[in-house]
Amino acid sequence: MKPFDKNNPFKAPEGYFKKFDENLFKKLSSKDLAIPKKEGFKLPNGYFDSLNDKLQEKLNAEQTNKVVPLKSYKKYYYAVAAAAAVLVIALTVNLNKTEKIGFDDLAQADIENYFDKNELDLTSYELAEVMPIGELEMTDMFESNFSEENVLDYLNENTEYLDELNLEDNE
Amino acid sequence: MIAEETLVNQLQQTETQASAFGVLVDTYKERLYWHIRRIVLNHDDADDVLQNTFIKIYKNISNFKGNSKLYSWIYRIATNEALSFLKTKSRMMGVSDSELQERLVENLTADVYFEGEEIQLKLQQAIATLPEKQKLVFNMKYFEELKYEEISEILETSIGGLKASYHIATKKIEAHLKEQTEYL
Repeated sequence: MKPFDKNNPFKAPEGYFKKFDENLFKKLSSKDLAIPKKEGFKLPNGYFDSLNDKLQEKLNAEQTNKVVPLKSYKKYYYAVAAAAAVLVIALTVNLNKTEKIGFDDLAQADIENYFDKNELDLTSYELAEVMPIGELEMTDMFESNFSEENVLDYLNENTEYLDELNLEDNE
Repeated sequence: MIAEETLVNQLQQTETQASAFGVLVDTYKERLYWHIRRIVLNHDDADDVLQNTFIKIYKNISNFKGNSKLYSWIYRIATNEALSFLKTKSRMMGVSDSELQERLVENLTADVYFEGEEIQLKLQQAIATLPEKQKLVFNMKYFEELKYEEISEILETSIGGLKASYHIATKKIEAHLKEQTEYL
């Protein structure tokens, strides 16, 4: 038996490897032709011939309609900007300093005056809904002290329906 | 052709500015028009953006310091103008950027300045699906045939990144076109 031939029995055409790159790139470029080179865009006849004139007209129009340059006011911008900044800072500081006015700051007389002059048009039932009756004592409502007996007599004589007062039975 | 440096000098001097600007417009108008048209798709919009681009160039040429090449500076202005135009348009229409892209392509069918066949429409649909950067790179490389070095200067991106973007973009477009033709 003939010993196994270790030499390569295959042969390639002469200069094959030298031309391999060239052939490959040819193939690649022909493959690129799958994308058309023609795009289909058209343009009006003589468009490029008239472009220079159109541009010149546009430039002339821009120059004649030139707005007064803002540059001359430039120096004032800094002053105005600085003044505005100072004003904003001053206002911010003052506003921050202003304490919030609370209910306690109102004078008792002003509150009474307000209730006297403005018709609130609230029924006793509505008042009872917003007033924390449970936490109030009868004496909190009056500057003078009345005896409970007198109050009950008064209510008995002047109130038509006692139920409207929503009085709780504390007995 | 006038050397770039000379043109810049003339553009920056009052007495030569007007004639130099004429030269600049003649040199770049067609290239910039197609660059802008591929972004905004519609002729009237491309015309507006192109004029605004040149006016911006005229007004800002004194600020051009020559840190980059003139053409890349000009292309950058045109690209930014076109992209800002689309952003404003989508905001005014109350639609997202991708919705706007879809509508722009849809409008091509009724556009008197578009005479593409079915395949050209499919191509525009495919390009519209690409992210902004890939779209720019694809158009600049495939249609405008700019070199990677030039695109790199305009978009201020590395050449490696551009190659990757272009490769991904072409694969996506091919896949989209293949998928569409299979459905036909």
